[in-house]
Amino acid sequence: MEHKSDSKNHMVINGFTVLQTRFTDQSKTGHYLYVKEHAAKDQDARRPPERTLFVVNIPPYCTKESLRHIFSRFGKILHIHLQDKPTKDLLVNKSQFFPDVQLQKGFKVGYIVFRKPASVETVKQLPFDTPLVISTPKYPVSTGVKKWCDEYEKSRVDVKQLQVEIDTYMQSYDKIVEADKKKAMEQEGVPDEDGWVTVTRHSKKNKAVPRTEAMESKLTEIERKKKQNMELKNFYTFQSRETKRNEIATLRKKFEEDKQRISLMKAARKFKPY
Amino acid sequence: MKRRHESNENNGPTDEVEALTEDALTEDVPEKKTKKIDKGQLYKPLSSDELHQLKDAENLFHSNVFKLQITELLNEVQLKGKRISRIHECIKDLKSVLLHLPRGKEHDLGDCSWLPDKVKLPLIDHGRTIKGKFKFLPPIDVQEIGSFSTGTCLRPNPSVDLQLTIPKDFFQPKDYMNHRYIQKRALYLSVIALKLQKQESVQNVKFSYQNGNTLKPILALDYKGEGKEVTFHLHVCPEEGTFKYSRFHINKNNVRQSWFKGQESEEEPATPHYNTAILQDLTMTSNNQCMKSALQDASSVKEGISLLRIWLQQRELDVGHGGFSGFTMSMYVIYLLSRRKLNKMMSNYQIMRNTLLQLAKENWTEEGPDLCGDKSDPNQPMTDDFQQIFNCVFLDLTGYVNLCSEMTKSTFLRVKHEAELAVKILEDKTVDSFHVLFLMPVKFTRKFEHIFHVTCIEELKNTVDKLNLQDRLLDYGGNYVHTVIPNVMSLLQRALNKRIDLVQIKQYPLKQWDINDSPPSIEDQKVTVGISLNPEFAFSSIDKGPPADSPEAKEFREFWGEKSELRRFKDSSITEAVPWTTEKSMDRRRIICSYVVKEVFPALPATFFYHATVSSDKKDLRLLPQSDKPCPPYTAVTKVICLLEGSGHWPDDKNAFKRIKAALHIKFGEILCDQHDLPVAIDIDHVDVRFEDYVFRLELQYLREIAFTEESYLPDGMVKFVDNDEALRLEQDIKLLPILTSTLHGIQQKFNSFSGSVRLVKRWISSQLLADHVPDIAVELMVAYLYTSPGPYTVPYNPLTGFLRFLHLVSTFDWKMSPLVVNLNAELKGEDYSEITSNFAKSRSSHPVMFISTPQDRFQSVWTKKHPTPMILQRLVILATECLQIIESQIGEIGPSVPDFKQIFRPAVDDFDLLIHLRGKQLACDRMMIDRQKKLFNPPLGDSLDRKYKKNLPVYDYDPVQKYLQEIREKYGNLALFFYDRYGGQVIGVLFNPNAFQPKEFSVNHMFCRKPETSQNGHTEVIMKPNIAAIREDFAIFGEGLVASVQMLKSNLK
Repeated sequence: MEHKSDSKNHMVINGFTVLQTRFTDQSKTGHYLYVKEHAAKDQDARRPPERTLFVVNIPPYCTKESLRHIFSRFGKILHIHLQDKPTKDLLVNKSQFFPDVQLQKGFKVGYIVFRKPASVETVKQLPFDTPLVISTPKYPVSTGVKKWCDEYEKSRVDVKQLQVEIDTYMQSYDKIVEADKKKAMEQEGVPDEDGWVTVTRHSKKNKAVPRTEAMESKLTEIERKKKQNMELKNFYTFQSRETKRNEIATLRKKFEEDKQRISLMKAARKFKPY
Repeated sequence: MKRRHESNENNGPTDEVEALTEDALTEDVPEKKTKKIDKGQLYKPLSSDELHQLKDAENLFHSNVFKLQITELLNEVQLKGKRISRIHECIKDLKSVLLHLPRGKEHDLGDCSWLPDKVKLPLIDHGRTIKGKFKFLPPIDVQEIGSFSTGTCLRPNPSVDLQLTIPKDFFQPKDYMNHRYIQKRALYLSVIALKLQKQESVQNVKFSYQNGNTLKPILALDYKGEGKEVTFHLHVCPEEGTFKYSRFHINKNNVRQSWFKGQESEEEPATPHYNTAILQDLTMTSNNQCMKSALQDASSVKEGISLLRIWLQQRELDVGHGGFSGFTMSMYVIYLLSRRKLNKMMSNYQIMRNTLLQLAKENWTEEGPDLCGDKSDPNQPMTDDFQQIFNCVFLDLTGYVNLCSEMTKSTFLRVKHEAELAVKILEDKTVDSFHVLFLMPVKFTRKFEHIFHVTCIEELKNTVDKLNLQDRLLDYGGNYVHTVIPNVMSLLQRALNKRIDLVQIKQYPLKQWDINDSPPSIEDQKVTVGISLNPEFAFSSIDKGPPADSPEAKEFREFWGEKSELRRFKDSSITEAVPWTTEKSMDRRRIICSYVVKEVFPALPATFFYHATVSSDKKDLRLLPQSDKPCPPYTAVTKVICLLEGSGHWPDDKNAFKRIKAALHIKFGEILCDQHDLPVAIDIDHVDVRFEDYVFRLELQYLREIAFTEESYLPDGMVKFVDNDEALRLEQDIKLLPILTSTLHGIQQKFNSFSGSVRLVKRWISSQLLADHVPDIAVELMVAYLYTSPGPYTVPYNPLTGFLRFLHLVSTFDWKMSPLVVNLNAELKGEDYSEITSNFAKSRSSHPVMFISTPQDRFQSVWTKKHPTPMILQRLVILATECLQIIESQIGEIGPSVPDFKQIFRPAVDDFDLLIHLRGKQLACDRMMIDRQKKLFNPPLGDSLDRKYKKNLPVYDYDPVQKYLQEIREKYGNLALFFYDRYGGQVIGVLFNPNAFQPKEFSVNHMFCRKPETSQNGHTEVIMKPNIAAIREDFAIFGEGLVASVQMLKSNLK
């Protein structure tokens, strides 16, 4: 563990520069940001190593916008990516209305991509004792009642836009489905290189049963019953004798089990009426 | 070879069962290894003994488990051999002391001044002079009687009844007259008490009354011989042949008016109760002899009696004045034996069951049992005379004594009702009948839906005149409470008639008092009446009487007085009738009850308890929020699920279907808006619409969607259905919930107190800040359980009763070892029960702590999968226990003033780490607050404002506190738990997760919400500590405008 703090009062632990934050000017305490140059084995065009700042422990009220306001004074920012955890791939939602990825709303990690590598260095040299202020009078972060009221106002979906997105998606989906169907129809009855013919749902002669697990277990069950019916029961004397013996055994077993259950109940003091 | 193979197969699963049960239960059950069943043992040839045993379990008992349970229970309550022999030693010691007491001097009977201060006469002073002489003679015999002598006495606190026989010479010939016998008896006991108190091994010498009869004191004392102390009850009785039985014939008078009232009168009324009280002493020996001989070498009968006594004790029926005592029960069993309804060969279970079966059929108020076989005595009173004089009749061996002379009709009917219930429960294979019958206490407050206390006992004195009961007062020796109660009860019964199923006076346990105190006065007696309603008739607005021209009409008019009216009904009959209300108010019963109470007892203050209602207003609507103004009142949305028909047109793909659904929602909303002119708000997964004064959330759903979400493809192209969170949630929402909702609605249709009970329970859970941690559905199911399996009670017809039983259920249910099976629509049968139970036991550890099984969801308990957690359940159990105790003592006991019933709805907040206080202005539900200030920030809206915006959607589903909670739970949910009362709570309790706050080493994973600190032992080492100060500030930041202050309670976190 290295713990450096030089004359300029800037704190570095294990390569992470520690910065303090304050929600507003008046706040007396706040969270700590841990920043470092982004370094990864795999190259990622969206996160170029020398220009990307890796920020850990971003407080939940801190949005992309507020990060942009805080850090843009150290150089022009190209992108900001926020994630729950440091990951290899960046998770990005493709659709506006139907999110694929649910981002959690707790503390986050962030990748800030600057235009120049120098900006990263500037941030790393920031002193520990001058905190970064998140909500400034110029760029306030709205929280609490005000935020909820705004959210309530904005919660109405833009129906037209939604309709447009749905339409485009469905058109492309229909195309894919159509193409699949066409392909299946073409393959119908045509053997592949090894001579196998694929039977599909679209076949006219003998429709294929869907290949599901449920169907599979149904078939095995039928087979098992068939086998069982072949066997003779209570045919020989020893068989009927054995059945009787088994009956007694189950009776005894039940009796023993009951006894054990009672002893468990007894142990749990279940028989004290008062 | 084959055999061995099979035996292995047979045993395989058993081993597994044990392993798992053991695993699951190691926590709570003290180490008790279950023995493995020996494989060889199972297959050894049957011995005749064993065959007998196995057969017995099936034939003579309810089930094998029931048999074993009875054995265990009896072990628990029966006295052990060692203790019995110790007690015998004590008896021997005490006997020798008693038999050798010295004779006393002769005194005047009426003058008790010679008694030292250490002892006071255990009789209520009536101020009349009593003639006669008193000279103490030692008893000629001391015998054990009652339950100890027959071996049916119950642990813990067994009491041994001893009978002291007073020699003939002690009495004078006319002692039966005018309370002389009573006085002598009491004096005799006082002298014995005085003498015994000097003994070293005698402690706690107290007086009490025999069966609560204020004429007949007994002496209670603890005798400490070697070992544990034994409680003795000393009864005294005259020697055989002191008086003739016929002297105390029920139609004879033994208390003269001239003595009692001080005035001569021509006619002397019969004194049956006084006579019976003395006769009971006279016949004590012979009745006990009869009991002893009948129960000799009949161990199963004795065990049966013990079981019945436990059953009675759990129902609080065997105590107090006029209770159905254990003695009565034993005598009844003996009666049944003599009538060959029972025989000594029966098992204890059969004795118990058959006795209950017979009891359920009997009606002692019309034709009681008669133990007397010999009817040759010409002096014996007629059975009909007994029936006329007493409420209930059970004749003893001599034919002179009514064993239940003090029992009121209502008490007997309660016993009969309980017996009927017990028989039903034994027949029902879906109930754990053993637990319900013998282990569950049936408290008065939980049994009866309405309870009232008579707070002003003196007023009952006036009732004696009003009901014309002076003769009875003389018979009861001036105890006006005992005099009027049977009449009051029958009046209530008559007035309420069909409206009630049961009315009963509470049997309070007998009081004991120190021998140097005066006996408790009559005014100290408690009178509490419980009423159980018949829902069919309870709320009808009129009582139809007899036809106007019938002879009964006069009687009816006399009874009801001015209230009775002549009415013509729709079926053209003209009858007398009593309208119970003229208004359509829900408190009809109250009006008539107060009438009955007022007319019968003038100016009798009675305290009534009614259930509290928790209103759910859905009508208040308002416009958009503004942050500086108070928040609008909360408007709930009602979710409506519309199921789509199955169709080949819908896409088979999850994502595509989502889009199609959204498109349908848009269309749906447009139709509602354009064609029906309703205000709507369209969203991706729902449409909100205002219809009249409600906001509905319409959701289109498609059952196939569950399958889409589960679908996944195996590498070889096979389709596999895999459970995942989303699919499970969807299945719950669109498949299980609608079924459950309609079933619960069915319960509500059948028993209209259901919703009231649920609301009261939810309100309570919420007020204890647990609402967000115990799922609503689970609460509803638990309450439904009270209706589907009412256990030792009948279904509650009052929300308060439902609530009390819920508290009892939660606090006593064995969540760790048993599933709560809610048999909705009675779909589950006996076999299903055992299947559920065994399945549950096999894999206990993988199931949630609170396991609720329903016919639709037998082995999963989907509603309680995540919540409640063990910690929350534990807290719920503790709170339920505490609150039940508080509220039951508030309802069940008479205090000087009306108690504060809101007490149990105020949460304890001391246990939290941190409290977040909220600003009243921003509470959307502040009108539901428990302790609401008069000034409301958002008063319910008037109609005028509402009408103006009839065409608008109001502000709905907007509650700042819920938004706030949602936000902080999302962000700090892994660090802390948040507790809030959703019905207008003003404070949020925060409990930090102790594990999340351990200092950690410096690494990227441990940076969230932590601050670096140099550890003290090494300068170079940095550890990460939780940044609590910042979290505390965050709570204020996120709740800006809502949070008033954040208060730290635990100093160790600062």
